[in-house]
Amino acid sequence: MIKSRRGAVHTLEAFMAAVIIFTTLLYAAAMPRERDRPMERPLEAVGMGALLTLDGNGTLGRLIEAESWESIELCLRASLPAGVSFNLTVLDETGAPVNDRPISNGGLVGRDVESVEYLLAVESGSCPLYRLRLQLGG
Amino acid sequence: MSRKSIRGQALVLAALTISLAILSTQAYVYQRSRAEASADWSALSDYVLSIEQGSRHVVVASLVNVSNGGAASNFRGNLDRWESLAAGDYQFGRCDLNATVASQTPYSDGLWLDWGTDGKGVSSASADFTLNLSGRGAEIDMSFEGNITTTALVSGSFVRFGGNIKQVTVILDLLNEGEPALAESIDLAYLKEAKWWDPSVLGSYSRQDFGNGTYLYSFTDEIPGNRVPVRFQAYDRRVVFVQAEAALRAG
Repeated sequence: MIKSRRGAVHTLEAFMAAVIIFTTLLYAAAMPRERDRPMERPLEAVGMGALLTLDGNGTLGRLIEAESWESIELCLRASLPAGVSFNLTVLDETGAPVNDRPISNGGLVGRDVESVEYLLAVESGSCPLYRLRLQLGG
Repeated sequence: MSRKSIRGQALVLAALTISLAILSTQAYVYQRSRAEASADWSALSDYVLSIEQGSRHVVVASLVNVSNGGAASNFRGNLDRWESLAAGDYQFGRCDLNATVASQTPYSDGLWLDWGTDGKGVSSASADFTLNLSGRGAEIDMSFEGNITTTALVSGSFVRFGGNIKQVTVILDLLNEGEPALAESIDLAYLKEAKWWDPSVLGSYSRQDFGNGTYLYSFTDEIPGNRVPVRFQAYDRRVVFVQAEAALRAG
């Protein structure tokens, strides 16, 4: 009878050990999946990345020179993730605002609000320089 | 307590130890990878990239200006303005950007405009930049080069049809930084009786765009002499102007 009980206890212990190992492996395997969640990329990096991409082939500079504020707004809407609100202000070298209408997708909304500044040189003869202030909410 | 009972407890303890080891290793790897891909670093590297990209735009803009007749001093002036704009930006601490225009041959004041008659034309601007970011946890000291070069290569020949009637075939290869590039516009002219003529008005004129920066032209006209001087004036997609001349021989 005692031997039978001991056997049952050993089985229980072995089972517990197996459960511990299995749970650990399950948890450990799940851990890296949480790493690259979109929310982990802060708004600052998202905004800078969008402006950098738009400026890559000089598109952003050309649109600002042409004062195509609506086109810039559309480009930003396409570049930024859904759920991120933005407001862009274009300032000239002296710091005076250049855009005469808001470049925004409807005001800053969200728990977090970040601001990014981007220095822009336009590939045209007079080499105009601008400072872009992009506010992001998400 | 019997030895068998202790063995069972040791098994559970061993399992716990192994679990802890697995979890701590995984947590360590996870933390390390998070630190490497941290948001601050991402934003900072994007910022550095934006300064590098902007510097390149300034060099392009200056070359556009100078190749279209602007003063050579505009290059230095544009770089000074860019440096001072960057100096006023404190997103990642103090930003010191310094540009040095290329001075080694064939550059002068950072510019090299050689619109020769040997079949090659070059419009180029070059500057070396050093960027130093300090403060707010960021310490970056890096240098990069901004070299923008538009090259036009002219080649071709003519076939004499009798008398001074010549069928001219001429090819223009346009390059940006040594790579084939498309042209925004091209004007071809040929020299006849000490005057430049536009071949596009001739009935025999044809133009072929290969879509890879190579443009083939052909025309027939009465042109005296053993050579046919031709001249290309071209703008690349960046609107940098370049000119090249060549004296074509019978092929």
